[in-house]
Amino acid sequence: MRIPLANLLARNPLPKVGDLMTEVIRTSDRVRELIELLSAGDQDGVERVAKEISTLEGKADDAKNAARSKMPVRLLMPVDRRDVLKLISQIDAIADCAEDVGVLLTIRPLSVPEDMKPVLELFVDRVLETIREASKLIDLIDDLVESGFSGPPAEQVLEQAAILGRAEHEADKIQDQCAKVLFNQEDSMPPAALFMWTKVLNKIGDMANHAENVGDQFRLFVAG
Amino acid sequence: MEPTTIVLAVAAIAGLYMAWNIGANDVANAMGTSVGSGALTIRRAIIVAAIFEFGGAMLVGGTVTNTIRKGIVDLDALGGDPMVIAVGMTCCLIAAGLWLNLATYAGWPVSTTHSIVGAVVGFGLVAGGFNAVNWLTMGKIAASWVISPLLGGLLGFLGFVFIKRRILNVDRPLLALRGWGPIMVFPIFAILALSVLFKGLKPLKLDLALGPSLGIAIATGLVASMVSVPLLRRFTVIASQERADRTHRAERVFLVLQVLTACFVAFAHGSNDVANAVGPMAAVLGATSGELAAKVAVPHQVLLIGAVGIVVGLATYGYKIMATIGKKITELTPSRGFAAEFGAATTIVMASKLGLPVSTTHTLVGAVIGVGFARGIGAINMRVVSGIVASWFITVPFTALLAAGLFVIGRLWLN
Repeated sequence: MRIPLANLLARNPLPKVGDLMTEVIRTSDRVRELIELLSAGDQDGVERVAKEISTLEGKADDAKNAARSKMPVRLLMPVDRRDVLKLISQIDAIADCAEDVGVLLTIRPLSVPEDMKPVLELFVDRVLETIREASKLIDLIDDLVESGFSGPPAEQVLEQAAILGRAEHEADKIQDQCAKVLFNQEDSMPPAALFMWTKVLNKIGDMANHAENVGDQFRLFVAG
Repeated sequence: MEPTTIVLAVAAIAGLYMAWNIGANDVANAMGTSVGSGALTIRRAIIVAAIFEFGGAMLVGGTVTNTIRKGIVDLDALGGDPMVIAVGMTCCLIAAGLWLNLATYAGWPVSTTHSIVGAVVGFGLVAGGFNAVNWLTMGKIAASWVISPLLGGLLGFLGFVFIKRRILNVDRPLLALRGWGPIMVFPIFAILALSVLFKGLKPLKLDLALGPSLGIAIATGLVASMVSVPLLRRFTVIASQERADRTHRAERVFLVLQVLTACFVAFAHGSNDVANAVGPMAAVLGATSGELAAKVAVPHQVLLIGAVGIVVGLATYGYKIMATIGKKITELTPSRGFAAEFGAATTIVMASKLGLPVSTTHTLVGAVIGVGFARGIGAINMRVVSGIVASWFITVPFTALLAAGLFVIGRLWLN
């Protein structure tokens, strides 16, 4: 049938990003369980959860590929195609970091110094909260498209991006605190463990950094 | 049987077929945005289309009909034989109809307008040689095919940017709508009235010059916006404190306004596209009645046949396409549909008044893209757009060749 008008309107490619975010949150939320098991000294549990995170990360990758492939080249979109692709890779990077945390913890079994346990758990909570704030931005996409990327939903996006930025800053501060507690133990800790811990803390912190980048990407959408 | 009778019969059937095709497909395209946004149910869309297509065809359709009948091909250059013209125009209808049928089957976004114009050019080339075709008129028509989507796009863009800035994104959209609504109603009625009045009412011997028609058009627009004030007041009762709810309600008001633009689009389509079927039919009728030289107006009955054919096509087959389109165009919200339809209809009515046969569908597509550029649409498939551009370069040569071939056969039969 000759209906150019019906074929003209393609589905909005952004909603697929919501599916990706759901998978990424499912993946990153397991990091909390991972750290709890690590604190409890259950290395078998750590290995098991790390493996599960890896599986979940695979699913997130599938969602990422689905989101990317559903974005044909010849679409006129209200936002720059490259910005959407960057958004997708930033969200996906959160899950990648979660997987890396699991992998690092299985390479060399680590034990958590008693002083560090509460700070570490607080750190992970703050990071996960940052990611949840980022996902609230994704929920705003429909409203944003609906309003032509301006007006009240655009203001809401900027507010939410600011909240996200503050959450990331909080996570950063706890990370520094965590590192301080860690290096208080430097005499009683093998250098290799110290090295691994630095890496682990950085990876967990990176999850929040990528979540913050999601916010920056949204700022670009609204500004462009 | 007399050859004249045979030609007349074949021409009538081909014309009806063409009109049916226009009704089934083109009108569905024109009304699709209203059905998709939910402004009109399919049944109501058909009723609106029937009434306003009819009105557009009868009141403004004559100019485009004349262009297709006489403007493209210089009838004097074809020699004195009226039968040549009768057979040729019949061949044009058949060629355009066949091509449309093929395109519909294959899903190509071709235009009924382009098909018939191409066919008439092909016939003219074979019958009277290169000089028989009025290339100046043809150039204007071809230029209008590029300009009309661009203009529709520009109006759609400006319309949606305006709606976005002044209504949807302000603190109190419903209050804004109360103020701006009547101002938006004004151009719709003014342009409609102007197109009907300015040398449009020839059949009623009422055609006015620009000055008086402009005055009456402005008055009509003013009256319509005055009437819309209390109506809009009723529709914009602020029921909720939630800002999102209020924006949502503003969109609901656009549903009401979109009914207006839907009528406008149907009218514009009638004024422009009915001529595609009617123009050649009128030429055949004129030639067979031996009135080739006399400057007769397009017979009203012929316009009527075309309009009826379109409505029948809409009711019998357009229903199906409309249902498909309604499901597929849900991305277009009422405010966007309003902006797109207004841009397209204004462009088409203006082109019709200039006697330029433009493509309704292509202009509407241009208007929708304009709304897309105003960041109003999630995503627009540019593949469809390039398909449309490609169809400009294919349709005209193809129908020209087909009409030329058919005419060569027809001429053999005539001799």
